[in-house]
Amino acid sequence: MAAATLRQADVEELETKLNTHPEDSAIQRKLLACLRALKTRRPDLVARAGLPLLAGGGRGLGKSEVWDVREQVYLACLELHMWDHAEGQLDQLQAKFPKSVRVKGLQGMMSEAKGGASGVSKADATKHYEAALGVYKEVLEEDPANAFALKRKVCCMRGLGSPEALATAVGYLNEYLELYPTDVESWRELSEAYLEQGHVEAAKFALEECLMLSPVNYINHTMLADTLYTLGDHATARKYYAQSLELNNTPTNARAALGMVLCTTAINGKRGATQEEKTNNGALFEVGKTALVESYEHLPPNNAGKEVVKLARRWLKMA
Amino acid sequence: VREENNMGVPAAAWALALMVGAVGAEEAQIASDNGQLMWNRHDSGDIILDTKIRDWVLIPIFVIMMFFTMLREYGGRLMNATAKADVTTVKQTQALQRAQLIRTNGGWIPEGGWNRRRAFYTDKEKGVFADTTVSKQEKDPIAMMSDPNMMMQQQKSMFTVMLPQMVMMGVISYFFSGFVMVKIPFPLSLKFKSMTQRGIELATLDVTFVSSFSWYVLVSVGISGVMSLILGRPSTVNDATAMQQQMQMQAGGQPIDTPKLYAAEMENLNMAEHKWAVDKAES
Repeated sequence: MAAATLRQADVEELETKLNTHPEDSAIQRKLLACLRALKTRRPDLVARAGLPLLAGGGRGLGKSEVWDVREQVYLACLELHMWDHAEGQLDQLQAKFPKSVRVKGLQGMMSEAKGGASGVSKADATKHYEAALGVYKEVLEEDPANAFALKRKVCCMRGLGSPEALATAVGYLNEYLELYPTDVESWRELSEAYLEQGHVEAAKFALEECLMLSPVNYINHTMLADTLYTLGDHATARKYYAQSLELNNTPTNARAALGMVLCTTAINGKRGATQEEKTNNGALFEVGKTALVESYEHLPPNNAGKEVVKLARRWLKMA
Repeated sequence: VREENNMGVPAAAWALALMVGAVGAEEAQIASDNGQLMWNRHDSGDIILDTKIRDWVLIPIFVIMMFFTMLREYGGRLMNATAKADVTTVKQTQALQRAQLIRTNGGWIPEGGWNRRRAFYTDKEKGVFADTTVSKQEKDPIAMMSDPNMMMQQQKSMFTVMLPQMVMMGVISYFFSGFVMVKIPFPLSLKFKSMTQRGIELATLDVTFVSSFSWYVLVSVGISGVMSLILGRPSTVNDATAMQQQMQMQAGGQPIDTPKLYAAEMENLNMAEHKWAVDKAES
């Protein structure tokens, strides 16, 4: 099917076409379908293509496609804070699918978006988020395993921003993960939340889970190594940095290289190491250093980049 | 090669000629000429079937079945509500999945974390798999009968699946019986003859020549593949799965035996060892 071969380049191509022919409904339709298939987040494009298309009566859209487009445009309007347009689409969706759990979730997102809008007072924001939470709780009463509502509850709490809200968010996220423990992104989100709270041990647990779910992703190794380093377990951290560098030896993996350098320096400072261990450590330090220098040399060759390289070299000589 | 007495041979040749004569005049000549040879040689035979069979039987049956399947597909979707997952079942299946993940990918995390996870699942008192309150999902047959939802499901599957099937079977047996339709490209044992050649009373006809009824059966089994090509995605309703569901319901349902699965997984976890994959990373 066509979806398998779509790529980001197609989006850009369609965007340029839209710029030259902003009223062409065929281009609008194709762009919207492309963005839906790739799940790319471009609310500006969706609004530009979708609103005129729908206002013009949805020409060329199939009977079931028009509702997908309405949902897509609705979400884009929420992101752009175009409340009137969003409400228009929501009314249409609610009229067509009055008992739908999915549409109810969308209604909750409206409140959530209003709560997160800029320039909203704290009290108003809390009110909006409470309203959204109410809607999601209703959804969960009907369908207790609804992943969408569970995740949105977490986002509501995150949006509120206070430390208590963060703790509640963590609680909700754990609830979600009890039902769906294979969701890597959610474990990642949990680890970030724990780090915000300062619970590094718990973050380590969450990152271990991430690692088990996708062990070939070099970023997971680096993040776990970061937490291990923070907790003081330099030996294990060094192993994970090594693994990360093995998985990705290119200049993009600067973080692992830096981690390696720091780890080896820390281990060097410890007492009671055998000579063999010291040489091993030294070798690894060199590996980290070369990787780090290489990644800095790949910076853009302007003046700022050159300064950074000079600083890096000086620091590495001192380390 | 079976040995037959002399009486069978002319009778067979004559019956063969008769049968093919119902199909096409010219072909009958050739076939009857070959009849003797066919019998003696016992090979795959030279019956040439009339093209009218292909035009008026083969293709129409196929088209009608596709039409019916598409009707069933869209009709089924209209009738079925979206399935709502049961929270406990989801939790249990996910727990098993995660335990498996710990076994397979556990080598990537440090030993401490791995032991903690293993203990979480297998600890004798507090472990998830040691939970004795978990019960088998019993499907009481009497309760099933009186449960209106189950009845509806059964009725729906009856209407959408069994009814068209029976109608088609009857139609095909009535209208399209008595002649050979297709030749199957792969060899079959003689035991299939009674099944595939229903309505063709010829003891000597090669098993690879089948009646239209068997063509119907073949198509109904294989149509899901064609449907997925046409619809662009796997079809949700087809005979094989629907019949399986029917059989499951009739057998009283195979309850998902969670305690047994838990016990098995616990055994597996207890026996597993932690092989740290990152240990050699530094070399």
